[in-house]
Amino acid sequence: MLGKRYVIYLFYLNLVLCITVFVPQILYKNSLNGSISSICLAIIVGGCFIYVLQKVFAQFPEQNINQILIHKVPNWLRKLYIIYSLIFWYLTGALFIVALTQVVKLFINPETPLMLTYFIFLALIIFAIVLKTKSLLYVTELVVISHIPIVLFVNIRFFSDPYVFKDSIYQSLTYFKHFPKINSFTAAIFVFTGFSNLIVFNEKINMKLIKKRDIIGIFLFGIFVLLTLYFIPIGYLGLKGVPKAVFVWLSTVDSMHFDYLFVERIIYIILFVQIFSSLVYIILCWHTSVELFKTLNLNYGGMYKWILISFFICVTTIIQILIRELDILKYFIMFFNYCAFSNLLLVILLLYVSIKKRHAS
Amino acid sequence: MGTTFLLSGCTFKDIDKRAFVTSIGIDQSETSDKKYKVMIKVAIPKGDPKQPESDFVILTSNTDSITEGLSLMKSQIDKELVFGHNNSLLIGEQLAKSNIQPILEFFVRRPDIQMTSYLSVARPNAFEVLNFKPAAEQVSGNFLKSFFDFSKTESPYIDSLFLYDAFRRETEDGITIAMPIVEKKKTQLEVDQIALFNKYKMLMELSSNESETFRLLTTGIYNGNLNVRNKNGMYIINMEKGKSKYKLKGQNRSIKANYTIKIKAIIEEKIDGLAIISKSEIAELRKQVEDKIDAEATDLLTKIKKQNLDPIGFGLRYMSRDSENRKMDLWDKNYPKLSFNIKTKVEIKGTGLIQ
Repeated sequence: MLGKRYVIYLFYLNLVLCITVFVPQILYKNSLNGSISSICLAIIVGGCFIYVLQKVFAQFPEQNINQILIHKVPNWLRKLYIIYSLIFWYLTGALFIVALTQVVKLFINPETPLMLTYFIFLALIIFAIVLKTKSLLYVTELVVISHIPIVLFVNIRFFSDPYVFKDSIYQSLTYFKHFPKINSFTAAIFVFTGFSNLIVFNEKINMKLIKKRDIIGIFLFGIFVLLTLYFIPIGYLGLKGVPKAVFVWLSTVDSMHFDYLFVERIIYIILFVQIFSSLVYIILCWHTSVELFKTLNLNYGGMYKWILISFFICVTTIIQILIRELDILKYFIMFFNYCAFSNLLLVILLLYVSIKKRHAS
Repeated sequence: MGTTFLLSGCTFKDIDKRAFVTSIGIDQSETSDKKYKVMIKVAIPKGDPKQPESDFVILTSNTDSITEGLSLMKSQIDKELVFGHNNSLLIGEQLAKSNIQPILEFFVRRPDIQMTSYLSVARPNAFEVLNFKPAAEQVSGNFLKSFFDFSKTESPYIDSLFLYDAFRRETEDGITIAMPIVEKKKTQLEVDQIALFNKYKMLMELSSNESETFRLLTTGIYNGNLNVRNKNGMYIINMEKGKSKYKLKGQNRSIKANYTIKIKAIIEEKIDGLAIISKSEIAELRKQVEDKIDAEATDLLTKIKKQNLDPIGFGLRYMSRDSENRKMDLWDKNYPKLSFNIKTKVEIKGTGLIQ
């Protein structure tokens, strides 16, 4: 049994990952017609989401989704749901690895072939996903702790920088009188979905230990990150400039000027930790997928797991080859809509199960 | 973890096979059928850091696009060019007076060029400025950077402009670009003037005195100076620290910019006579300095306004505060009517070591 801080790490990883997976860009698509209201709506819905998930998972300590659902919903529904979320978590990881290789290709080594980068990452990920859940959570802790100073650093720089255009930020706030847009909303809600991994990790972490004040702390931190995610680039690149940038956050970090630091471009430090946390996130996603597969109880030894993994490799490689750099944003918009839908499904299912449990006892 | 280390760093090409570009300059082409004359300054690294020597090569090519120029240069040198350490971008005066938009866009688009590179207008042209060889510098090309780095120089005349700053001033409504001018004199470089642009070309330049006032009105200054004359002679006031902020008041017809300028100063030099500076005289001087700064600032602001430029960003401020003011044409109508109300508070802290 692991301590409650691991839940916070899972949530944190999800938050900081939004930078590399185009959440800000999708929000800026509607920056003049409804992003602000989408963010507000996402904060409210996200708060409810965190609250409900914590309540429900606390009722089923040390159980994964299979153990929660068993005997409470029909067998076919349980299997269907597990297969569905298996595919969902697999696709999450696959899409993220494609985005990650793009970033590495563009910023770190433009001369290395894309596929080489991709295969090196893939080898690392495949090696890691078959490890024990506990050891993966330990790795997560390491990565998150090394990431925190960077986030603080960027924020302190933003608040102390005289070159920030405060007027642009104020101007972006004046565009609040619009209806929320679905794409912006689903992208913003992704910030708060760090708990949905718990369908597997609940087995190792006891949610009962999480108090109300922890939940409120996590929620406030989520709001803070979502707002900085949206407003810091506007301060550096201007309200009309942000929709033009492809990797908004990397341009923003590159724009921060550090006079007295030992490195001139902090972008490389950020990229480094960002790549690490993205890799860990992908590993966690696919690990979730493999663990879900195990719960299906196919009694054929370890063979089937490897069949699934080789299937992963093939499909991801095909996706990697097919997706073009220009279209990647479009796929992410689709993914966020899909993600919001899956999380809605999860909440409905869990609420149903918890009500059923209360009636039974 | 090991794999990521493997990936980072200079892939497949060793550092001794790379040449580091420290500045890029762009001029209008001398040949009539081409558009640009692209120049890069490549530093020649020295093994011994104890003997600072500035050795560099300048590569040039006349082309229609910057990309083409840069790729042509690859064939002029035996090494792979690295742009990641480039920190100053020079635009020739001639070119600045025609159109800088495509140049800005190119530099922002390239991922390996730092967004914190310093932009400046080069006079008489970029080649002359690039070709300037200072007596000693650690890395060639660093000289230009030191001008603009706040941690290195604190001249009140230099208003440095980052690449990202230029980009957002270009795209954002209600604000325009102000860029420092680097001038090649006979034996040295001089940066004490500011060029003001509209959205794409250079329209006016400020004298060094006006540049100081401009800095006072925007980023604030350290160690600026000012001459005041009264009946006892001439005094030089050193403005140790000057800051300013403004608010826009009123709607449509009677729109007003209320500036508050705060200055901490000391009396540094007294030209005529050796008489002791009395308390009452200091108060008098203070009043005089305040009036002088008021007048200079109002003059400068009206001068800029007449050209219909807005490097301070009044338009952006106006449009950011109310959702009904967000239209650019509304501001275009209102800007000529804008009046300035400047309040200066000078605090004379002392007279140095003697009274």
